[in-house]
Amino acid sequence: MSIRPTSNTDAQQLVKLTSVSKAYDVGRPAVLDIDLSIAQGSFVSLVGPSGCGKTTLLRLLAGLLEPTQGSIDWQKANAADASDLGFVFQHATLLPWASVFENVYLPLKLKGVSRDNARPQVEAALARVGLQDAATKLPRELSGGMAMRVSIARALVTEPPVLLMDEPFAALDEFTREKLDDDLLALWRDMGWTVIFVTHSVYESVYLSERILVMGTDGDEAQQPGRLVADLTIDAPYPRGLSFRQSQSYFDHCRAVSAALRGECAP
Amino acid sequence: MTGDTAKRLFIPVIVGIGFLLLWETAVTVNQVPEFVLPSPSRIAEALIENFGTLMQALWVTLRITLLAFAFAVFGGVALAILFSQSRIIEMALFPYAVILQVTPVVAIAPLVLIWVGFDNVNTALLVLAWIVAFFPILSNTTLGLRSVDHNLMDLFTLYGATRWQRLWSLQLPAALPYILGGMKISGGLALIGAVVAEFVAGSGAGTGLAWRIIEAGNRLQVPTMFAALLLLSLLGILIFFSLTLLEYLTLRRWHESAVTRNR
Repeated sequence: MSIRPTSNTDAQQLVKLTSVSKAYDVGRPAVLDIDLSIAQGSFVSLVGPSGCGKTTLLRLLAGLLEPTQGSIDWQKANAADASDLGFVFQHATLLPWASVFENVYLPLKLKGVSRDNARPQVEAALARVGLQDAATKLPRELSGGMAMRVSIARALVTEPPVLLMDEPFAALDEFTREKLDDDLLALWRDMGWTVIFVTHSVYESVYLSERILVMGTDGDEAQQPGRLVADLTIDAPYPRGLSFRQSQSYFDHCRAVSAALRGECAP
Repeated sequence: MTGDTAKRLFIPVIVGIGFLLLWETAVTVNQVPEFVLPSPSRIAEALIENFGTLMQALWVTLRITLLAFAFAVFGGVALAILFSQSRIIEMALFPYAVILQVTPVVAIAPLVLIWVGFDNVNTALLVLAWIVAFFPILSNTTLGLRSVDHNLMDLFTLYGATRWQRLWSLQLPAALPYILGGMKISGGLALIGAVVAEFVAGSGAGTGLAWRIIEAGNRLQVPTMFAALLLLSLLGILIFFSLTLLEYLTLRRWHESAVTRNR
């Protein structure tokens, strides 16, 4: 097993957000005054209730949105170039007319890599998510879990150092979700990614992450902008498995995250 | 499934045969004059008697319809693509496309005939049929190009897709069901446009099916009128089924509308 830094302080910083705020054209700011740095190679979850700005923050990191105020600084070697980010959406978001192979090939195709040259990479990405035999299938022939695996394969085909995931497993059943959680952790450990994972599930975030950023809103109004309300470290060792899910420390962590959520979101 | 398909074909055919028999009997028994309502057998005779001229007329109408349809598809899709690339162009031109659509073609026809000249009636017919057929393609394609999943649009942005890549690999395939839907409407309208234009163009040069109907009507050859009408209906049905088949073949693998499910 590879040795990974578990502490955020001594690891190399990947990205630093300095008082980042984002307001949409109309109405309240979506996120306010976020100060944050994320260590390279870490697994960070963003947890919070709906509408607290988790997705906005993720989109800011992806460069899909520009911050209204503040700055997002990627370390030079990891400049937030399109090729350095993999993004997994809440739904599989596949091209319905294209085969599994074509869907995974898409990021390379858009970069101008020919189909023949891309083939080994696409096949490797499919093999990593266990779908090497499904290359010719169409999205509608896949189960929800398989479609999400294709989506993950598409995100990792360019071998990005950073993977951003926006509630990727929220629509899946419990069993599939736990299986994909384990597969994701295995991939993360193999590939040395930095993963930033948005979820509204306290349990999922504790199981997966080294670090949990709890987001919430001030006051009881849903109209308030989202901010960071807690920054928790989950110090349980990897690999994590069923024994961790059933351990006292797991429940303690879940309780702590829940308390952080309650404390700030519904005072 | 196959039983269902058979029923789908069989039941309307039975109804049709029953209706024709009833018609034949009613006309014969009541001795209805031919110039009021000819019997089906008399219409069939008229079709055979005038087969040569009717086929020639059918060819003229068919050619105008297909050409107008082809130009409508090409022009409608091209303009919709232009609209999707520039909001300004869309804002500038879309209202005029609507005006072209809502103005009754019968009212524009005399003008077009004057402009194009009575020597080129076929060109006038083509223009008029095109005006009628063009709008559904434009509006459906515009809608389709706009209806792309915004997450997929974001994905293309993330990977630095060019305008062309976005259009070719995402927007056009996503709009295909809409384009094909527009084509199904537009195919029928092209035929209607061609026929209406021919009626308006009136005497002399017209040799299409609509003109045959007017001519036969003037001579009270009602069975021939029915025969020409029958050919027009068949042409319309042929166009509709061809386009339905095209839609099915193009979308059956992936689109919800064409995927067969067990109930």
